[in-house]
Amino acid sequence: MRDAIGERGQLIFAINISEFDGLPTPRFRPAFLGDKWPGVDFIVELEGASGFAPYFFVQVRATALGYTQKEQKLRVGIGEAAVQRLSSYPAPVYLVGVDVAAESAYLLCANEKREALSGLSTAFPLNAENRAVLWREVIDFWREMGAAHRMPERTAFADAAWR
Amino acid sequence: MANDSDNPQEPWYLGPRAELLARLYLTRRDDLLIWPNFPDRGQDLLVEILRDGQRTGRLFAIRVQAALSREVSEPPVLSLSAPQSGIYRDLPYPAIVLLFTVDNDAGFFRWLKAPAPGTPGALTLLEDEGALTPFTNETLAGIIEDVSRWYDARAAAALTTTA
Repeated sequence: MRDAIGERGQLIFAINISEFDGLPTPRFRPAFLGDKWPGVDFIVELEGASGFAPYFFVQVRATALGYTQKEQKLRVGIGEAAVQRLSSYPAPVYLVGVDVAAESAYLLCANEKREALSGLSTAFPLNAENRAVLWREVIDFWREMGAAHRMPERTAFADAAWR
Repeated sequence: MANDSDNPQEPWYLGPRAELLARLYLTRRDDLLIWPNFPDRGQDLLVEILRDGQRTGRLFAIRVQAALSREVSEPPVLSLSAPQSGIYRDLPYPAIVLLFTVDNDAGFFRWLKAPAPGTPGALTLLEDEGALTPFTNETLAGIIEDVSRWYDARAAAALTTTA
């Protein structure tokens, strides 16, 4: 039963993140990394960024238990060790909670977090508006990173004949 | 969703997103088991009907097709790209085709190999081109009822023959 909920959560996330939102193509292209991959479930590439391929990681937590009474947080959690593994990625990484009954999803940025999380805020539903914000947020991160850390200038593995 | 190596001409989001949508409908129910994929064999999903959580061996096949909403006529008609009579002629269980317009998540269906009316346990192979009807949770429920009745009739016919 737990596997079925987890798989359904991954399915709902993949559909949600690849919505067209009225555009000619989806903004995001998700790829499931497999159950054996530690820490994250998906790598998601951004579409429509000319000249480079920004991406981010996602861990999906799904539940059929709904929301907490007082704060209306989604009843998913993540332990301290898992948080620290998740936040160790230098790329943008997000925790996505999925309500499998309502087929809705909510996201939070997980970078540089240290503490366990009990209940996921529903302040940021994964809807068209927030997908647009997410796209811009990830693009801006990689543009700033790319400008500051150009790999060709740092690598030991270069072939000067290959341009 | 990142695997487009089977058909590099087709946009990455078409086939994979349509299959995700098909799985979304199927996983809303707790009485269906989706078998692993059978790529390039004319059926994309093989589904088994469960009873009280137990397997029954009652299978039906689903061929998943994808399109953009602007490519689908009104009323919608599906022309299968490869003649399906060769693949489905000898299929021993019912089969349907699901078409999803992946930019607006609308679904349509029709039978490929339908329970034959008036002949218990027989199947009718339908033409390669035919009209589609909207696919909803209720439509799926009707399909499962029709498939279950077909298996019931087949079992009854087999008992009659044995007697």
